[in-house]
Amino acid sequence: MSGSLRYRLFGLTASSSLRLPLPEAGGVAPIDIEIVLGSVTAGGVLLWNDTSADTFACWRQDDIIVLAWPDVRFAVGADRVVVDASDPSAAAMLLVPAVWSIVLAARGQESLHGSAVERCGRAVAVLGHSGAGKSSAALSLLDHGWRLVTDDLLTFDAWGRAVPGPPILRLAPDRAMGRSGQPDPAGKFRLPVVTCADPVPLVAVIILDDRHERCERLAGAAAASAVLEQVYAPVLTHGGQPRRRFDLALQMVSTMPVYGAPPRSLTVVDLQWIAEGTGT
Amino acid sequence: MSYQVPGHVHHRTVDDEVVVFDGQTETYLGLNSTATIVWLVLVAGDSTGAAADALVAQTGVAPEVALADTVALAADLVRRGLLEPTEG
Repeated sequence: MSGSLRYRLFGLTASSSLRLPLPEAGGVAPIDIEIVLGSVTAGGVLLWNDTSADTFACWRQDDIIVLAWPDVRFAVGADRVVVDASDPSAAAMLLVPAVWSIVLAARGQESLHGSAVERCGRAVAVLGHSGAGKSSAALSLLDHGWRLVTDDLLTFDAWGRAVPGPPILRLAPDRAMGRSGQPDPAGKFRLPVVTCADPVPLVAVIILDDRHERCERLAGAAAASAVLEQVYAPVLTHGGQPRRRFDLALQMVSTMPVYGAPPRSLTVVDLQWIAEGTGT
Repeated sequence: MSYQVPGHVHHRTVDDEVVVFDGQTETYLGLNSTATIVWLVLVAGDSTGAAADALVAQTGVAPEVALADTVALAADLVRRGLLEPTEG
C-alpha cells in the first residue's frame, strides 16, 4: 500500500492509501477527497441495519456516515473516507461503487443503479437492480462502437450530465467468455474498457425490471416512480436527499424518453433502436 | 371550497400527470390522469366545483359523479397534507 496512489472516481480526484483494482490517474488536478486507512468505530444514530442477514449496518456520527460490513468498516465524509479492514482487497471492492454512492451523497449528488454508454457525445443509460443485465446491455453496445460512460453507478454533474466512472465493466462470467480481463472476489469478471473523459448528456433511459412484460415507453408518474426505484442507495444518509432525488427523476422524465423492459431481455437491435430513436 | 399547496409540498407535471413530493414526510405521490385534472384546477386556486366542471369537460363523467369524486379526492389530499383549505 502507498499513501500516494491517485484515482479518478466519478468526477473526483482521490488520493488513496488503499490500492483499488482500477487504473491510477495521472495529471496534477487538485485532490478532492482522501482515502486513508484507520480505525472506524461502529455506532451513532442508526440509519439502517440488515437484521435479517446481519451483513450490513449504517450509522450517522455528526457529518460522518459509518458503513459496516463483516470485517470492513468505512467512515465516509464529503472529503475523506477512512477504511478499517483486515482484508484491503475486500474493502477496495466495496469502496467503488457501493461506498462511493455515499461519498457522492455527502457532496450533494444522487446516484442511480445504472450503466451508461455514449456515442457522438450523447449517452443512453440502462438502469436496474443487480443481475438485471445493465452491464451486459452496455457491453452489447460497446461491441457496436459505443464507449462506456459508467458501469453500475450512474451519477450526474451540476448540468445533469452523466459523469464518467472507472474504465471497468463488471460482467457475469458467462457474459465475459472469450474476453480478456480478471475475475474479482465477488465472482464478477472485470473487463477493462475505454471510457469517456468528460460528462455526457443523457438522451434516453431504459429500466430493466420484472414488472415490465415487454419493452415499452413509460410516461408521467409511472416513469418518475420507475426512476426513483433505481436510486443506488435507498437508505437516506444526508439531508435533502428525497428532494434531490425527486428533482433528478422529474428532470430525467421531462427531458428524455424512459423505457421499461424485462431484465436481460433487450437485444442489441432493441438497444440501438432506442438509442437511434432519440437521434443518437 | 378552495385550496392551496403548503410550502413543504412540491409538484411537477410530466407527460400530463402530476408527481407530488411532500418535503415533510419525504414521500412521493404520482397522480393519475383524472386526479391530475382535479389537482391542476385546485392548485390554481379554483374551487372543487370548478374542478368537477373540468372533469366533466375532459372525461365526460356525469356531473354528480365528478363532484363527489372531486370532493373525496380533495379531502384525501388534505388528509395527506398535500393541500390545505384556504377558506372555512
